[in-house]
Amino acid sequence: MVVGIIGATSQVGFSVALYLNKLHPVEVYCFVRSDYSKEVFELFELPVFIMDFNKNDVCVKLRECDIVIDFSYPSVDLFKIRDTLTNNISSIVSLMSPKSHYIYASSIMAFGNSDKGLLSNHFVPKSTYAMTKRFAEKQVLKIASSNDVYGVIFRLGQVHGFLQSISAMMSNDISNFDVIRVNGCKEDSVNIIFINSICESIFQYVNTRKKRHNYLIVSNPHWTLGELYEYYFNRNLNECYVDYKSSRVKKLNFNFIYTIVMKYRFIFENYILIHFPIMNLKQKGFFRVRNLVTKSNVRVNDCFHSHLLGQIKYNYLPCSSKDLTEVLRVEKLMESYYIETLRNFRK
Amino acid sequence: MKINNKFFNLKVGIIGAGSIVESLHLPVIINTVGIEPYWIFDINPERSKEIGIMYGVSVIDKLLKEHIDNIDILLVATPLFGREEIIDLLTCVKGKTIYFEKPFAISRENHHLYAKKLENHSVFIGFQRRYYPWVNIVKRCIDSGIFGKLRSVDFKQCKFDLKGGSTFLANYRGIGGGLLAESAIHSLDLIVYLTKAIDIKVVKKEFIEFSRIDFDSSSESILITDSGQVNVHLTVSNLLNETGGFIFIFDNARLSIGLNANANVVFSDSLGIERVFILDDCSMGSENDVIKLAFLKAWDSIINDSDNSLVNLRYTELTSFWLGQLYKY
Repeated sequence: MVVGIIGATSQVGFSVALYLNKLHPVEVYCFVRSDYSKEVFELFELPVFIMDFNKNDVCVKLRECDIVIDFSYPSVDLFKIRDTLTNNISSIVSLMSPKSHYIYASSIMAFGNSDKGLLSNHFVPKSTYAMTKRFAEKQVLKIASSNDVYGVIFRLGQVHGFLQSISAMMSNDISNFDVIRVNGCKEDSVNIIFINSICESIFQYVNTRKKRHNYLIVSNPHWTLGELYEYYFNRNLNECYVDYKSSRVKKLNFNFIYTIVMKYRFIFENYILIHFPIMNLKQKGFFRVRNLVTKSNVRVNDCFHSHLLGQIKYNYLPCSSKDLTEVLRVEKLMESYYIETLRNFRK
Repeated sequence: MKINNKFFNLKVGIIGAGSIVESLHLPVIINTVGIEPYWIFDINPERSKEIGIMYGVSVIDKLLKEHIDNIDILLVATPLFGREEIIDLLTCVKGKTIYFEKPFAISRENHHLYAKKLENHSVFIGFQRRYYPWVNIVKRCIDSGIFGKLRSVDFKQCKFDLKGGSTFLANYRGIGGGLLAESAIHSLDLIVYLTKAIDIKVVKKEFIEFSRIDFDSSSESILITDSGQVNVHLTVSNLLNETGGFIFIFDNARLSIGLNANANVVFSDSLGIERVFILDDCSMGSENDVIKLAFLKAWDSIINDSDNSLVNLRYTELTSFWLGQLYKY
């Protein structure tokens, strides 16, 4: 089986490529936008191709893939993003073999939560990012079906792993703070996923008979908040006190009207600004200048972790990541392999 | 020496319309009394047009001597490799204030060469982090000798990132690219500034580099100061994800500071007892606030107190030298 990774320079993309290559019996092709880090991939024996659709070898390699998983997200202004997404997805899918699988890596944030808290499926999403992801998801299903490719959306939960920023932050905070306040109870479900579980989800999906078009990719069964911190205590061989279900008080200096305006800013951005590029640019500059120095009333020595909690009714794929010991074993194995490879290359 | 004209705003010309100009320099210039953006130029005309619309700044499509003659301050926010032409153009103009984004040079020789070419101008370098609140605290601790002599500094910056999308990072070291020159140089400069080093010797270095672009480096250096030598260990990598920051080790204590602009200073004494310095509320806020304030202070110092500005060129030579030593084969 050949798995193509689009956006392989992202933290998640690179990690998935690394784990698939090392731990699973598949061939991995990595597709990247520039040759800046090409040799890093070669160091880890990951075949890498620069995404130039004018080049025949890239087209051939995409055609060879049984599965393509797309972690890319364009870095362009808001008014360009939809066109860029559509073009990118079309370009990739049109080169894939019929009956192959295109997995679009969306995000749990597509459910529309603007702040972390209780996970729920909002009819109207509360952020531009969520709107954009939902747009991309619709495009994926439309374009895939018109090219005879199986399109599927993976809404990824918060991704943890030794190369992920969130894991570095958690480890750092546990080492540097005596108390971490969190926004939930020890038994609350968290919506997280580890890298190897993403890899397992890919195969679970391919092997599923009754395939759906959308999945929420989180550890299933869900981890609890307490288990998450226990994992990091075991990983770091270090502990701190976790103050469950505390809330942080923020004083806001907004007046009432400004609060309302800010609350529905997403409507203004998504339904008006997206059609007026010049207004979009001007408002960006206006807010940057206006908000130049804002005083935060949050105590700077607090450590507060906010998680997306709870479960919702959606399509899930079973994965084996409930066992903390097994997850830790795989993470340590991959981290050792990674560090050792770098150490041997240093000169 | 104040250069601010109290009757008219000083005009600022900007070369380079990258993210640092978009997100920091231009909002700061607009918010600073006494200066105003006059024109902007970028080799990518689409980009300069976007920034021009965003901030209401005139766009020029070709950089000519007349454009520089018409301004008072020039901000140069381009990659190092694109600056030779600009510096040559500036030799035909006199008496301007030039603010270069870092790095200014990647060797002592180049630093002197450019400084010589620009000797008719007042030159400043974008080491705005010297205005971070924690830097002031640590400087006072070092200068006062309250914890004894500073013996060593450990610095670590490890954030996994393979994108390198901007050309700056992706250019090889010879022309100002690479992780040390593009990203870690701020921290190198802070160590030089805080220790008041007068000379530097690199004793050991290990790199992971591809096509002469450094992705990972570990080095040991000795900084010579008036009060003795300070050993510095640097670990800089975009192949690892680890907790980063500074550790200043004194005779009688240790100060640890994270990588955030609004980092607290954590003090541990010789018994290992830790205390956290909560910095003055007037100067603290979110990380973005602190960064913006540092940029504001840098610009303010250039306009109102240029001789004593922390970002004055004459205080930055050793940073260029250290970078050159680290990058030397």
